[in-house]
Amino acid sequence: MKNRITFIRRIVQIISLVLLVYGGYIFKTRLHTETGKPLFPALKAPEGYMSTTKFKQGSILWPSGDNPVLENYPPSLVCRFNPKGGLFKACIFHFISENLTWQTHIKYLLPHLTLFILLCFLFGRMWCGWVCPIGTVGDFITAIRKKMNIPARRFPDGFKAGLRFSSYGIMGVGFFISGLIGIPNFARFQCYWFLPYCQICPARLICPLFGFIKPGWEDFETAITSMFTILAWFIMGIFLAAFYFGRRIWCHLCPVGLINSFFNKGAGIELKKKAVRCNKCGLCADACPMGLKEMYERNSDGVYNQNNCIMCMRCVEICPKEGCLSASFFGKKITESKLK
Amino acid sequence: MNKNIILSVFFFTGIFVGIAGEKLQVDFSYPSLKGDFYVNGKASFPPGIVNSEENISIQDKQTGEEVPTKIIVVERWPDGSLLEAEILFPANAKRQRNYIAVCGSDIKRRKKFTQTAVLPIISASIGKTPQTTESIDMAVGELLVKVDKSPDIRYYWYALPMGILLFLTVYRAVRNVKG
Repeated sequence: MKNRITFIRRIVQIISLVLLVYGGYIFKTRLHTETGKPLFPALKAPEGYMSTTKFKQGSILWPSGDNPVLENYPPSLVCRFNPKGGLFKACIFHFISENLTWQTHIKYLLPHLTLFILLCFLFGRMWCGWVCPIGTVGDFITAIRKKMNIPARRFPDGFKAGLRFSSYGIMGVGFFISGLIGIPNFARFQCYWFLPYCQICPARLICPLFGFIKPGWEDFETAITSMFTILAWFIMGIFLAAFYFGRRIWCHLCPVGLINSFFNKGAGIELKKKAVRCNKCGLCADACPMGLKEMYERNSDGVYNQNNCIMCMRCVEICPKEGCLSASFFGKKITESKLK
Repeated sequence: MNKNIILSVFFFTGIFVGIAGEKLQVDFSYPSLKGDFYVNGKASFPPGIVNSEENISIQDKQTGEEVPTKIIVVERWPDGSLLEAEILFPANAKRQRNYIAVCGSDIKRRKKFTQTAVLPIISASIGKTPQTTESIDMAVGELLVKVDKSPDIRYYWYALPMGILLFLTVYRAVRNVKG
């Protein structure tokens, strides 16, 4: 098969999407635990603090379903605003923001964070390329553009660097506001500023649709919710445009991907290059959905897990030189480029 | 360690209970008048020590003879035991005696009176709190301290794998960057 890795990736993406969004129905009876000593402590809003489960239907932060069945289970993976039956509680950004506001004791966060770090240590940012449901939606949009024979737009490196810089800003501001409104003196602002990034994240608008549920996308009740509504739509526009015109350009801006990217260079999954076999054809740089060029530019052997690499392995797949690029898991080779 | 804490607490509270729960000193000054008078005072008890006013008796400290008393319960602890009681008993200025209030579940008051005669009343302090210029010793009764073994403490163990994972990530990242 010509694009074997891409084919496998698509299958994994579809299975992940189904599992993450509806998997709760499958695992509900097995994993849901209210008694005994759970490995992952339940994290709940203290009395008087805002919780997403307390918003009225139709408000901007109204979660689309009941509590996910694995309420007490790992953060990190999918949007909290997924339909009823979702498998996980929330993405890591939601998780950290929420618990900053609730001022949850660190000991209750340790199990959740440990699992998240374990996943990142094993797979790095592979999550973004293989599992993320928003990425899957984006890839679908990109596929539509491809079907229409519209070429992907190339963005300059400075632009991508600017997006990454912005994602640091989004992360910093999001966490700062979340922490600030957790201070009792500022608690009265929680009704407007709770989960500030979630309020503008495109996942909040997209995820409920998987459950045929209308997301809260038109909350103009107050000036602040109006601002968030407009911002959410603006960022949704950027999201759609980014995936339509520029493949995974959005992933440079995504703060969840940013957090995952901190672990990329030391992750178990590795992309290796044997420089002596490279003929500088540039196909790897051309095929990279993130528009990364480091793998192409490097002239020495080594592991090139770049921070922004989503480990889609498109470069390995496209490389025409036998054994030039390879992907391995803790040194054990998974796949390598084949002679074409 | 937790067991030691509990034992220590019981040891110290036991001292207070021993002092306060059995014999209380009745302190008053004999007046310059002649004849009988009433001694009146309020006594406070730790929770669980005195269940009823019938478990309090006033005795002559030298002879151990019980003195007739009138006892009115002022307040009770939530468990029903006496917190405070007002005690009234007769004394004579001529026969100057020292009195103690004896209380406890094994004490049974035998001599009592309900009607009081028209006599002078002298205030007394019963079971006066021992104090110095620096401190006041307060008997708080049996103090039960529950040391929460907190099953949540186990979550701290996650810091170990988390630290190892972070270290390995950084180590591998540095190794990969250096090539």
